[in-house]
Amino acid sequence: MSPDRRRILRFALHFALAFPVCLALYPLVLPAYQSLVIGGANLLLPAFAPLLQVELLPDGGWHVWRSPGGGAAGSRDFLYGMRPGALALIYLNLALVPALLAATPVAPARRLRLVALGLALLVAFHVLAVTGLVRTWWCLAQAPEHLGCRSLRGSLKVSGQLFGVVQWALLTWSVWLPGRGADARAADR
Amino acid sequence: MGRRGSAAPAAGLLRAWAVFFAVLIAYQLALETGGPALRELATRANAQLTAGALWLLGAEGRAYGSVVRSSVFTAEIIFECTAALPIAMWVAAVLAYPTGWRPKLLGLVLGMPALVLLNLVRLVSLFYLGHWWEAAFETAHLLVWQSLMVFLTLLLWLLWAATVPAWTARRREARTHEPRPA
Repeated sequence: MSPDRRRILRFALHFALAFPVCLALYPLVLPAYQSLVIGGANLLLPAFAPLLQVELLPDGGWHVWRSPGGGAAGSRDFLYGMRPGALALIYLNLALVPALLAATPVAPARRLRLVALGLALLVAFHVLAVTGLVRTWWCLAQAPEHLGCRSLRGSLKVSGQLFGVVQWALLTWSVWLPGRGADARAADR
Repeated sequence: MGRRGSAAPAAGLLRAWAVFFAVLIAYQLALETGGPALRELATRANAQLTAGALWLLGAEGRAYGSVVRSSVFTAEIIFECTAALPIAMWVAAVLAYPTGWRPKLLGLVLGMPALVLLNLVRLVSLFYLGHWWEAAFETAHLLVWQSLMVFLTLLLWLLWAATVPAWTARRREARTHEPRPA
């Protein structure tokens, strides 16, 4: 078996071990993670007009509100709601990306660094994704046929899959370059 | 010298990312401009395939539009249940990889049916899971299998990319040993 294929096999085996762990942690971590992400998005959203805010519901779903008076208490209109099930496709990479990064065939210390960096990027990405999604809902409430907003909403709704891959590729592309098997092992020694 | 040496891989990498995102943007725009007809076509075809697979397994699968009924479970297939997104990611990743057109064409021709087949395995397994362990259905449907589809797409791509250099070298070698016409 070629060194490249052996590395891929190692990656698959490590993923088979890491993914169930990440999957088991997912429901435990998700409530706190959601609060962090929604909190971040609510800090970012006032940068745009009109003021939109996301409310995290006890069941994990969202309500998006518009404050016409620039946030004056008591005056807000309901814009959009999202059930927890529909959010799974956005938060999917919370279980997927750490498992993919933890399975990367590099030295354990580098793997840990990758997971830590991956998690930090994941929070930043989710804050931007939630902000973008909320803004596209507002955009589509004004212009339902807006192609850019519809496309962005479509991409963000499945962003758990799509950007999970992008993030994995961004962080580990150098490991997977052709013929990197021997180089990677030498660098990790 | 050093600068030129490092600029070429960087340019190649940038081009790969540009191709990857261009394909994904084109896919999203095609979905939005293609209207519901495109989504419905993919959804109904997927429902027919799932029903056929269930029927082959003896579960009396039948598709009624996008709804698949069987003796084990009944479910509506929606567009997100199709292999469209993994295929789009596959096409984007294969086209972005810096290699010749032949390996890319081979990757596309072999990879797309493989992903449709994997997705079919996913759907059929979900029907049986819905029958045997309904409480786990939602988690398996939304979290486990969606993640596994992404992982399997990546794994397939890594295997393809690892095969490309050997395949290209074999072709080059065969061409060198080819008898030249007199």
